[in-house]
Amino acid sequence: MKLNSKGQVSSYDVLVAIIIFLMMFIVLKQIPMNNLTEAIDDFSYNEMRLYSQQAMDSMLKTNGYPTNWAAGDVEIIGLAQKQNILDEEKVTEFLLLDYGDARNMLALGKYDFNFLVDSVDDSKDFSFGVNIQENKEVIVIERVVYYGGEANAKLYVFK
Amino acid sequence: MFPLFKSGKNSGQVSVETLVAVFIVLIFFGIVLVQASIFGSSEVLAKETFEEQNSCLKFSHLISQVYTEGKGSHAEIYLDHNAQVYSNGSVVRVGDHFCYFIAKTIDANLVSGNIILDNNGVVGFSQ
Repeated sequence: MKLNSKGQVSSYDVLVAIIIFLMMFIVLKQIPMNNLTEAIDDFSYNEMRLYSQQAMDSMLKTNGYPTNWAAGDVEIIGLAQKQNILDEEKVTEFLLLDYGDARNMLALGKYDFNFLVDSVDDSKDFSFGVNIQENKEVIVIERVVYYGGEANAKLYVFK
Repeated sequence: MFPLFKSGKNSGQVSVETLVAVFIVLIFFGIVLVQASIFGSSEVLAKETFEEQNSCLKFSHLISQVYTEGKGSHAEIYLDHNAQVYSNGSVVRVGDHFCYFIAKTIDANLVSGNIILDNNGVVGFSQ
C-alpha cells in the first residue's frame, strides 16, 4: 500500500530538533546557578570590606578599651589619641600583641591582615600582621593620619 | 527518510526513531522536574540565607559605627529578622549566622522591627 507523504515528518529531523531544544534548555537552566555563584562572591567581598572598614575605624578613630589599655588588658584595639592622630604608647603596646589575639579583637575572624604606617618620619614606620599572599583577593584601606608628622596608614585584609 | 507515522496497513504504528525520541524527551523532562524541585527549594533557602546574612552584617557594622563615633552617637535601623547581641564575644546572631563587631555593648535579644542604638560609652538597644 502506498504511503501518503502529506503530514509526515522525518524522524531524524525531529531527533535533531529535540537535541537542539534540550541543549538550549540545559544552557538556560545554568543561568540561575551562575547568578547564585556571583551573589555568593559579592557577599563575601562585601563582608570583607565591611570588616576591614570597622577594624580600620576602630584603630584610627578610637582610644580602644580600656581607654589607657596595655597589651595585657586590651579588649578593644584603638590607637588614636584623637581621631586620626596616633598615640605612640598605644602603637608600642599594639606591636606587643599576639597576631591571633589582635585579629580577633579587630573582628576580622577568618581573614588575615597587615597594618602598616608609613610616616614622613621614617623612624616611626611600622607594620603589624602577616605578609600579603599573592593571588589572593585583598581589600586595601588607606587613610592619612598623624604619627610623627603626616603618615599613610594602610590596612590590607585578605583570605 | 523514515516517516514519523505510518498509515494504511500499518496504521496505529510508530517508527522506532519516534519511540526513541519520545523516550529521550520523557527521561529529560523527568530529570528536569527533579532538578527544578531541588533547585527551587535550594533557591528559596539561599535567598533566606542571604537575607539573614545581610541583616546580620548590616546590624553588626552599625553597632561598630555607633561605638566608633563615640559617646552620644545614635542610629536607627529596621531589622527584618530577630537578632541576638552577645557582648561577650562581640557577636550578633541572626538565624544561624554570626557577625562580628567592635564595640562595648549590652546583651540584647531583639525582635524584628525598628531598633534604636545609643552610645553612652556602651552601645545600648531599644525598640
